[in-house]
Amino acid sequence: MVLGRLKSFIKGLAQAPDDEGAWWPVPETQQIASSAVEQASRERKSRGEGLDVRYRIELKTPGRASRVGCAGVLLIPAVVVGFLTFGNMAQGWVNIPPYVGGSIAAVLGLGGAYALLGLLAPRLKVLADRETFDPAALHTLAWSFSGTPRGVRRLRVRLAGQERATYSQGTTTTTDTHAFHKVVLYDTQESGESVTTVGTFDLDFPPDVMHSFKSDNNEIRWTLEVKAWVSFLPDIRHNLVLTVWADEDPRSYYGWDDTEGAV
Amino acid sequence: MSEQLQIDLNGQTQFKPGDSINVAVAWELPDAPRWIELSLIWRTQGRGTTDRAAAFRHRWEATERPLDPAGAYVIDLVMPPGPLTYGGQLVGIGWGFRLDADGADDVAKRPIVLTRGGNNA
Repeated sequence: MVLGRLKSFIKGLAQAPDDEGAWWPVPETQQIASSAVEQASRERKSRGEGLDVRYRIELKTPGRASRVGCAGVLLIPAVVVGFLTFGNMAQGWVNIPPYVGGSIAAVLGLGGAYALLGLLAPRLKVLADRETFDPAALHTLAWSFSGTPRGVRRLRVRLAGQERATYSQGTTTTTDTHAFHKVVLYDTQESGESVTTVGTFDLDFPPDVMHSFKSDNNEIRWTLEVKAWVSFLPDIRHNLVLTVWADEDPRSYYGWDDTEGAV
Repeated sequence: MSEQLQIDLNGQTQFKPGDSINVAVAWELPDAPRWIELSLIWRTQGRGTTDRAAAFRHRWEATERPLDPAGAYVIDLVMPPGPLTYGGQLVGIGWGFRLDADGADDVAKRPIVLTRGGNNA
């Protein structure tokens, strides 16, 4: 009880004179004002000044952990090579000339540090209003940077269609790929626009295109290749796999594989 | 190709997803078969290891109803939404009906095309 009063007193001290505080019931007039602000915000966004509320599905973008992992893959060998070259422990059983070991460690270390620098770049998300895309329809997607895209010189989005065939020879398994479609959907360099925090681009498929397909060894894969060039920092690259089909998800009709001597 | 088993699609070879079709099967065997089976199968072709699956299957068993050495059935089915027939550089997808029967010398196969482009009837 005493503690509760103390909390209220401290909260009151932190309040501005006109601030009614969050623990008071919100007056009706304030609710109306809030909804008006939200409405204005939605209208502003729909005029292209922000992102439309319908873009709520984030296409799967790789997280920052992958960049940290990439940096680790470079930095750890850099430390090991540096230690083996200059450390006392390696003396006698590993003999790496200092200039060779030093060069390798420096190259790997710089690569790792550069990869870590990518964490400073703004995060880029690609958003859609649906999870699957009818190839016969025109779709509009959106991008959104986590902050002001300072230093982002160029943004490009490409649509790529790829066949992937996996086969085995002996103990080796190989996947061959063939790009049957690749087209630029949006490029600030081509349009002459500057890169904005949010924006939209159209996703259009060629006529009579094959839908997404994936079986154990064969695949038709549609990908959005998003790339942002950032000054002094590593480029942002996302390859987002799209699910492309017209109506019903056909995967549930693919059936079962016990078809010996099939057609 | 079997002379003893026949699949009749009323002259059609192209179908759209969602099409309702009648498939007539006929057989003429030396002895009464214990079973007859009709399958609708897709398979991949091309450089990758072949994947295949049956999207539809119906089996007539003599245990349910005696089968004559010669006879015919008609079955209705709705064509599945996919995967559509496709011919690419590395990956291809083909469809076909397959009829097999106990005691038949071979299976009957009838390739078809599943496409959004329409029927050729």
